[in-house]
Amino acid sequence: MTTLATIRNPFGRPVVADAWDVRSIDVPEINARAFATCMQAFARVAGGQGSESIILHGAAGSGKTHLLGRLQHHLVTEGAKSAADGALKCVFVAVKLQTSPQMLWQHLRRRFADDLLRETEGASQLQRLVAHYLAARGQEKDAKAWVRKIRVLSQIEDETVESLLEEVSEKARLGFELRRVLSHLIYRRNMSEARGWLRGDPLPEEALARLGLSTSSEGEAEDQAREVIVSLCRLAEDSLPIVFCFDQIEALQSSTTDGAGFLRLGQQLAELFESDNNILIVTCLQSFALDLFKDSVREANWQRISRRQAVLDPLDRKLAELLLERRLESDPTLAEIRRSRATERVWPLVSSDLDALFEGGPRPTARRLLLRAEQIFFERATGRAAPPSVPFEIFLEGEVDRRLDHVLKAQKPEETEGNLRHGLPLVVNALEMPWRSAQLEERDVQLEFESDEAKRIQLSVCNAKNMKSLAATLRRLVKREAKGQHVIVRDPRFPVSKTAKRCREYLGELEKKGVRLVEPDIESLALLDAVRTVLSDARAGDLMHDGLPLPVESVEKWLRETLDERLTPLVEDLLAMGSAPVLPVDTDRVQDLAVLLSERLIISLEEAAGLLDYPPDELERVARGHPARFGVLNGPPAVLFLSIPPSLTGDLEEEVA
Amino acid sequence: MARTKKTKAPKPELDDETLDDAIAKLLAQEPDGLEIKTVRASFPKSHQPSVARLEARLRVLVAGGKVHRWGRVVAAEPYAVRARARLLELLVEPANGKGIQAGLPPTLRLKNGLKPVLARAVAEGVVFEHPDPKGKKVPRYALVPADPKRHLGEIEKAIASTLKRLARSGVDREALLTALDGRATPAPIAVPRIHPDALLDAVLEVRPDARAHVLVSVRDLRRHLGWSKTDFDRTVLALAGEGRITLHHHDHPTGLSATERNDLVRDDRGNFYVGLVLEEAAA
Repeated sequence: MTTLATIRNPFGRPVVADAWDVRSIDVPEINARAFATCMQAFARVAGGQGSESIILHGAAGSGKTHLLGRLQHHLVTEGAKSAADGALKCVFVAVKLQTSPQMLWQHLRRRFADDLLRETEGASQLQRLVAHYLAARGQEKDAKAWVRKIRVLSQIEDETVESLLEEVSEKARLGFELRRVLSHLIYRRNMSEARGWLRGDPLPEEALARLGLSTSSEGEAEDQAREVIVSLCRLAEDSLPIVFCFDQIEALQSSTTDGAGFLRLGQQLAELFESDNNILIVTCLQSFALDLFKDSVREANWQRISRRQAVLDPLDRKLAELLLERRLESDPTLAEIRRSRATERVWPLVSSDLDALFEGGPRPTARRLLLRAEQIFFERATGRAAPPSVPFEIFLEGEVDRRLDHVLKAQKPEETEGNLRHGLPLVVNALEMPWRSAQLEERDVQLEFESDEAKRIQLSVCNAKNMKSLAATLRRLVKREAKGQHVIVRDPRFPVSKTAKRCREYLGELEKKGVRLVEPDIESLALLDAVRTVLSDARAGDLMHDGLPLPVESVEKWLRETLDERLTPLVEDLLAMGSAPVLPVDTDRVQDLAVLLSERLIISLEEAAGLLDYPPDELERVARGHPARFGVLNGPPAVLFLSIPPSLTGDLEEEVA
Repeated sequence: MARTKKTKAPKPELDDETLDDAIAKLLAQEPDGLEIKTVRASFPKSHQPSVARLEARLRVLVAGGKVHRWGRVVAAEPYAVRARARLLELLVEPANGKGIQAGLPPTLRLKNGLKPVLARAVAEGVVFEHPDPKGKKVPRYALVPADPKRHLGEIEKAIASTLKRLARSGVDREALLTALDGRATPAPIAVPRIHPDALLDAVLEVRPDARAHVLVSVRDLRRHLGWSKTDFDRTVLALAGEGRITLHHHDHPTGLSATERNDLVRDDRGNFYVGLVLEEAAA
């Protein structure tokens, strides 16, 4: 017999991960007004009346991300039926701003590229963007026909597409590199490299050569990213506008009163707004940050990015009951049981269950209501009291571990720069270390830390995969006059190969100048990434515990008390605290061994020594000196292997067992 | 060799957007406003706009509501808002009209500007008019009601002497005051005043689009009204209780400084509210 106890609790999953997460039950009556504002703005853009912008704000848990999901579903999934090309009504880009304010354009470039390459009915959003652009200017006005043409012609490698692209790049003033990469993406040639370029990933020389691009680019990554994005925005048309949704903008702040990131964001959003007439920008934030956001942004930019404002109210009683009812009806088995109790609208809950939520104090948000309903349903279904929530310290420990696992499996070395530049200041701040951090505007030196004793450390994240780009950066750093102690950080998964002679020379010169090279181990980098996202979620009000958002101050306190031992070594290593300012003497050998093991993974000591032309005992000393990167098995014969973080080998061991 | 005549390089001109932004920033730092000539003089010589251009940009900014003009003075806020805020700071100590004029910064001393501001504050019960204790016709103004004791004069003396005479008959002060049938005013108790309609009017002044369901910052509204914290908070909470407004709370008020928290509305359960939205009925 089916009882409540056998039914999945319909009130689970109250947090929506992002705008593409549409698994939650949607109640259109909730935040209907804000949604209508978004749709009116979209209608104006699609009607050729110019770009639009909306500031969407509400309390934590009021449904901002959920509303973006509704918008995405309505415009992308539902909108397909009424789209000019029968498949896509707009290019939809959703971005959580968990990044350093100095890397906003690079961050957006990555997300924009990922979304542009999403496929809809056999064609990527990028292909459709080009097709709509051509339809608006060619004799053939049917976007659907253009999509078909591009899809078919590109598959048979017909050169007509090439000439069409030429026309597009000329009219839309696309740069040479973007034009080249578009060609690859549309013909679906060298997709991995082209996708990497579009995302702004550091690419090795061979990959750039395959794309037919120069092997070293002298421009600044942030400027390049802006140029690529603004160029792509120029392809937007009335029939296919671009909708940018920015979520969690509070993650740009290093403290509650920090408005520097908002100032930069305001500038970026205004530039996006101005880039074309077919852009809709939706910016989401918590209501309490609205005053600071407005005060931080230049007046002229504010006018552009806040043409409309929509507020997400807490629930009233009517909407609360409606939300409960829809959730209860979403499970067919439960709906069947409920049929015999038609007069009890929210059974197995009762109306008085809501009293406590509406008596005094702020009215509840949807998220708070669902969390309470989940507990009550459990109690009614099992006859037992809902288990008490775990203390927040235990919750945080589990949350960081869960994210760490995910990061270790998914993290790409290309993203290390963003991780360090965003995460390091957050962690130094959270651990209350005696350092004040500042983001620098310098091209090759991105972070600065100053101690209470006026000691200054400057950090360069040099993570270029391309050795020519790396050499160019190092050359500039050699010429640069040091301002305090200088540390170069690089992901250990990008070793400097023996053939990169210029890089090694420059590293040697920097060594003589007292510069330090730090290659943090992968696990420390992953931990930094996990902690960074937890802190960002907390700042944006999206880290829920026991029905309420966890304050970022509590998370920071917990970090100091619990993760101090795991995070401090990384920070101390990077900030060279208490160490002499010298490059490790084994730099070349460490790099050689890293390159060799990245190809071979495991090799006998003797063979490695032969290949690298080092004495075996010297090589063994190097390997043993870097246990986080290399492993040594005693022989005979002695074997060297690439060290893998224990948390990754855990799964492997379980599988073997 | 003939010397070529040096031509003076043209003076670099700020574009409209930069100039507007610079003016707005300058005025944001000078809440009491600046004379137009001072605005011009604040620019470095190399980038000083011409008087005509500055006037033209100011006209645009004034038309857009970004700058407000008080005669020869320009400022970030309307005169009534700034004058009211200054007035309330000043009237911590009671003052008459002359004293008020003298206490205000020169930019705010507008002949006919202050009168309506003062009259409105009195009408709303934010400022109280006190009769001069010496019986002169010039009233004084303060943030608290007049203390009746200061005006009892001879009556106080008469009561004291009557009490003395009646004491032998067992009549005490309380009995005497009862006999006066409550005409002796008890000491004023600081009961918060609630001004729901004045607050709703002010919402529309701060955000003319408030009827379109937008959030109105309680910080801005508080500054606009200049009421005491108790009066303002009580009025906001009363309106929320009546369902005429919806309040939006702050999730992490502990992360704010005491001053920032003080700008928010606090209820008796310790919740802090950052803004309000007019409900349809109130709108």
